[in-house]
Amino acid sequence: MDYNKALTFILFLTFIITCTSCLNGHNHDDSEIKDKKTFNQYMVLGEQLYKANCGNCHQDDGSGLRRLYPPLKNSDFLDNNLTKILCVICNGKKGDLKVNDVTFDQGMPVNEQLTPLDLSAISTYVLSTFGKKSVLVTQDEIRNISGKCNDK
Amino acid sequence: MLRLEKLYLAILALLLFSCLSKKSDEPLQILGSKKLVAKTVNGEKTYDTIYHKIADFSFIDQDSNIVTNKTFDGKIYIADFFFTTCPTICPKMNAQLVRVYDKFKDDPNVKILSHTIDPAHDTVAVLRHFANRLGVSSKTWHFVTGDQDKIYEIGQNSYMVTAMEDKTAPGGFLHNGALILVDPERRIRGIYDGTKEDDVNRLMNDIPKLLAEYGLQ
Repeated sequence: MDYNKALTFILFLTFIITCTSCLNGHNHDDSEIKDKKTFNQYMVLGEQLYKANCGNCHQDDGSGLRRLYPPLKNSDFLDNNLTKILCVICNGKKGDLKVNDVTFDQGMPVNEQLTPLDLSAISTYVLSTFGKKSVLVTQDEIRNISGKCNDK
Repeated sequence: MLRLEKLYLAILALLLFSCLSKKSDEPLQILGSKKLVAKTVNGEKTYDTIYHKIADFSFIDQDSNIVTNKTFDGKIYIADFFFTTCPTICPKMNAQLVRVYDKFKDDPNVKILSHTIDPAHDTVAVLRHFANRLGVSSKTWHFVTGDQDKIYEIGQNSYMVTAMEDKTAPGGFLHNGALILVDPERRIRGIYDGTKEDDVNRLMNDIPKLLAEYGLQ
């Protein structure tokens, strides 16, 4: 093989590898995140917890199930303010919820066994993977929503 | 490569190929307990195998149709046990059954029979609403309710699945995510874990095999 061909091949491989490493589940710009160490930890923990606790209904890829369970991917619900989103993740939801012009009515059960660390990791993972930008949700932010969630 | 080595390789490949194709040609097992019953035919003693069969049942589906064994005469069906407010296993099972439904909904010989193990909550109206939300038709997928004891009995004795009330279990009911494949003779031909995509893939491969066995394809 001649030198030029080899070089081109190596460059091509590098390009492919770089591209695929970008497709890490959250392909948003992380540059706004200040505490990258915690963010990365939460993304790893959050993914595990999401798949174990949330993926059964919302699916691992966030696509939901027909008109039974709402999608998270491309969901307009994630455009809401952070408190409103965290209230649902932490407390569940009773009654109807409109997502992308479809009204979902099965409600969402609350999982009492999740700790503030679990919830901050899941919230970080969900918002950063399915929302419009990467967000680090701290345990303090999880604790601070108590009393702020009016419609349970 | 020497001629001899090529020959060995060819023989090995042939053996492997025949092993693999043999596996896929085998008919599906018949599951459940078997009984050998002796009988005398023309003075000679022979044995009949009596296979485990699904008992008689009568339930009501989401469109208020009475569903019995006769509903599945000449057809194959996939049975499971669930309840609409189930937080853990059932959503996964239903997501997988939707895949099966999508693939086989145009085949009149393939049906799905989901039994609720919470008939107190899952009335005909609740099941109709649930089926509508899933976007499926009772022509193919029956969601049935009925007498709780009869449902538990047929679940445990006929379909051999765990299904019972348990206040400590999530949702209040204990059950596994099994999908049971039943042939036109009411015999169990496969049990699959409805929460695992690759096991449901196995089910989707077994369905055409079973249809072919009965000339239903």
